[in-house]
Amino acid sequence: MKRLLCALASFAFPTFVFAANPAQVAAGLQLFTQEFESTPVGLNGDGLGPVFNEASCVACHNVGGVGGSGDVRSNARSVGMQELVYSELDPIGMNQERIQWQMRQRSGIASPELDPRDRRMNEAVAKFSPAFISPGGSIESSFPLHRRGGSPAFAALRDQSLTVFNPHWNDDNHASCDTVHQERTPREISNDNGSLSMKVHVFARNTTPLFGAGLIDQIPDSVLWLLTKTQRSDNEVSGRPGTLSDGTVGKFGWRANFATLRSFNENACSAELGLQSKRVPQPKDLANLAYVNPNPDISNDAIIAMTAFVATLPRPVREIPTDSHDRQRVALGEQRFEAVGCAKCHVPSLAGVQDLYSDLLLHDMGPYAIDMAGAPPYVKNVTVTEKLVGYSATETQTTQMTVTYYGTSSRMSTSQNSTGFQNPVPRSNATGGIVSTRYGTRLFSPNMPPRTIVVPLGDRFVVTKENETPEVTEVTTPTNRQTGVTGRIETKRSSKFSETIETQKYHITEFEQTFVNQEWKTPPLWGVRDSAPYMHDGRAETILEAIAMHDGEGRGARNRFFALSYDDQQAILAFLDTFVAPTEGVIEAPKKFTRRDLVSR
Amino acid sequence: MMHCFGSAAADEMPLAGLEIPSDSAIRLLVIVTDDDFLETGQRIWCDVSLQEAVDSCREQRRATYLKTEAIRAGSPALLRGGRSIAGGPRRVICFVCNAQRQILSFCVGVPSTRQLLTLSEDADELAVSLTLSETAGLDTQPDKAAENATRLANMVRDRATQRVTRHYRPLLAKIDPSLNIEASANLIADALASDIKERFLFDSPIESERWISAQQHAEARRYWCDTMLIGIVGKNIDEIWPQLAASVWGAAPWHRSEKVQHFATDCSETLQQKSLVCELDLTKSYVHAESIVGLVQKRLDAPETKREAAIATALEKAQAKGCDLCELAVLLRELKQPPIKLRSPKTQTIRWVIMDKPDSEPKLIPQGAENRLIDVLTSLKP
Repeated sequence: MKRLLCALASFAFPTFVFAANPAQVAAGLQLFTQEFESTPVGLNGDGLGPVFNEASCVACHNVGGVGGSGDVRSNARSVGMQELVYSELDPIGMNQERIQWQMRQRSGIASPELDPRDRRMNEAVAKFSPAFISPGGSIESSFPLHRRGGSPAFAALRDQSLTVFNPHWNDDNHASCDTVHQERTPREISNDNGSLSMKVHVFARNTTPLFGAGLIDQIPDSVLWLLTKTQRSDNEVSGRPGTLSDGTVGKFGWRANFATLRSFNENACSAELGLQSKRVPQPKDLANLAYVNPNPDISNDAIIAMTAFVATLPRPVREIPTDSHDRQRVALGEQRFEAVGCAKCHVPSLAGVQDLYSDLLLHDMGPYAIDMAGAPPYVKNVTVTEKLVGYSATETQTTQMTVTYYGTSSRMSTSQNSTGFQNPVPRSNATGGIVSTRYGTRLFSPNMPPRTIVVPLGDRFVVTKENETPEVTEVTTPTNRQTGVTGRIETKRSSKFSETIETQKYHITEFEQTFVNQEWKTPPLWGVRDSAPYMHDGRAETILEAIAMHDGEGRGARNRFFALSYDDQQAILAFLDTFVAPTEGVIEAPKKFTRRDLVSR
Repeated sequence: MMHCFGSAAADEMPLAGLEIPSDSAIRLLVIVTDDDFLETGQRIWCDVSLQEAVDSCREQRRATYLKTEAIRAGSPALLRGGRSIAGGPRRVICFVCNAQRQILSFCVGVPSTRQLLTLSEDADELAVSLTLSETAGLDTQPDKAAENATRLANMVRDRATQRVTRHYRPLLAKIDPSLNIEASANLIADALASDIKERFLFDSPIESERWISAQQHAEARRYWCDTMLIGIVGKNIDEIWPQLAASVWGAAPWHRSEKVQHFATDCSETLQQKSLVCELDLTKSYVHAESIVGLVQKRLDAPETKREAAIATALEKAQAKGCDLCELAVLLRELKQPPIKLRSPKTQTIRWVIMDKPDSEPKLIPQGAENRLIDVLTSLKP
């Protein structure tokens, strides 16, 4: 392990911060700190929104200066559904409707329409929140819930949802780590007539500090692959990179779902501020899905400038105590940190980026860390295969996935006709699935990706071939009646025929079966002292709590930490206390964001 | 670095060059630990960390005169053959009191500098209120004293409302100075379970090693402490700490109480005249008792058989005294006896301790050696 750490640390990569021109950086700073506004739709889009979490980047990224972390009040929230039970109140009526629907489907005169069983369920779900229903009629396991903006109808919908999900919504006086726990506690909600019940959570994402992000951006993918390979032989941790659709690996975002700082910034502009770019559409007002912003709100140049600014944010530093006794304790803490196994994931240096203390890989953090917007599934293999038409794509496909800023949401088709689940009767929510009867439906949101996703590529190929049957040799042994001699005659026969073959290319992606909803990227520990609260949703108020909340792959290290003597535990905490936010080159955040006091101690 | 918790002299040491402070400025930091309760001159286990916090606190809050006092309430090496306790997480509770030893704030675990400052500030707030009551004579009139206690509890309750998590909040109104500690702790047991499940991923507040380890840090039980303080604020530390320690530690602290001391004196006097027979009662659970006697046997008082009846008669004749582990330890210390082992891998736990004279080596008879017991009892001097 130690040898690997040295190898990773000495990887010969430059450690200079992104070199950008000063004008670009200045423009980026201006964009990062400016308050955006909604504008009438025009050539420059519609500005802020329609839905958004904050009006500026700095409104969330302000702890310790512009670009820092954010407290729990700046948490971005999403609503996730783990389980849904729908009971049909009128099974006879529904069956009659379904018979007619099946007849229409067979006759081919009807346009594709939802199975009445699904339609009725979707209508019931939509009364709680239409955001759970995708345009195709499937049910989404998670959707982001923006704090601000939107039409009056959206505001009413948000208030209605949150009255059910979280009574303290947006109330600064109640913002604390305790409310994060409260919000994420699953709630069983049901409708008035009892036909629908859902197990839902409000999940949150805490603002990550951006200090040193430019250095992380320069870490090559190969380093992450090397670490992944090394961890495969470890019997406790098994990190893996966030594999993205373009073949790169994620280094940004709690779910490691963005490969570059630029894509992270661009997606953040869209998801948090509602600023549409050329590549990333803005989030929709759930009560006004028909509305389309025709033009980008933010230009490519602006994204580049903002990225240039973020890349030049100073890196966090170490604050080594001057007192020799304290220094010895910190040194002991560093040694214990490695001894208990923390450094397996919190790798001290990566590719020349010193004191990062992260492997940037995704790790299963146990069931308490669940969030339905999962990590990008781990791509094991991608192949393109040519198969005869009729190759059953649906046999291998469990769920579809919707990639969002916060992670990968599972889209669960509600109809058994359109989707073949691996487990028709799911025993747990690991793989997800559906149980439908004439009396209702039980739907589980999956915790794992499908094994494979098969996507047809291009058109079918139709080839007509002239074929010949294999040659058949007939042997006869006639006897000459006159001479009485038996002879041998071989006759070779074959026939010609024409054959029409229909083939198609398929793109087959195989995924490793990991608990994607529990996998989180190891957060860098640099600056950890000044970036409370901790964990992905800010549920841990202190570093000790954050250590205690390590489960899954982190469980062993956590248990070994608590098995240490008190002095050794304190030494580790003292060591972690040396990782502080940068002090030089930091731009002070506006007072209106930093002078708000939290209620909790 | 000077360690202040080692000796009484150091604990009492005033700040050089300063005037002797008035009572109202004195804060007493009472640290209850699971160090050997028979030892007084040695350091307590968290001495270094606490000293740092105290030094910083004294530096930052010069108006407060912080005196320290250590109460050791852990198992004695005297009953473990002289061995100190091996490894494992340790226990500590810190109280901040006024000069009259009234509790003003407390925490379970070693407080950091920041936490000690908070405890100190909290204590100051309440101390002002207590001083005002004293000046007005409210604490001497019986009806006013009760009113005063309620007022203090309300102050703590109001503060706790702003601090504790949602699990405790609805229970704050139910905690009252009239409730005993056990009742208050039972009232908030479920809240504690939910709290630590969320913050420390414990499935239940069982006394697992990890939970005991977490409680070495003051933040583990901080909301529990904020809630419990409502019931104990203003009460005398000497009356409260044994009950509170028993509640937190899940077993009684080792404590040289009046009853224990009286037993030891009584036994010493007995020994001047005749032999002393002590029958150990292991049903009372003490902190770390398992390191002395192993797992406590639940049914020591098994149904009487003919043989046991004979033993009972012999014990009665010898005027055997029932005692628990704590009483035995204090007695042995009074008699200046060398350490004994109450358990060895080969024998069962010692059940009877018999002494002929104060300075003679005690005879240790384990459970199951009843024949030997009867032999020894019959050979005793009348």
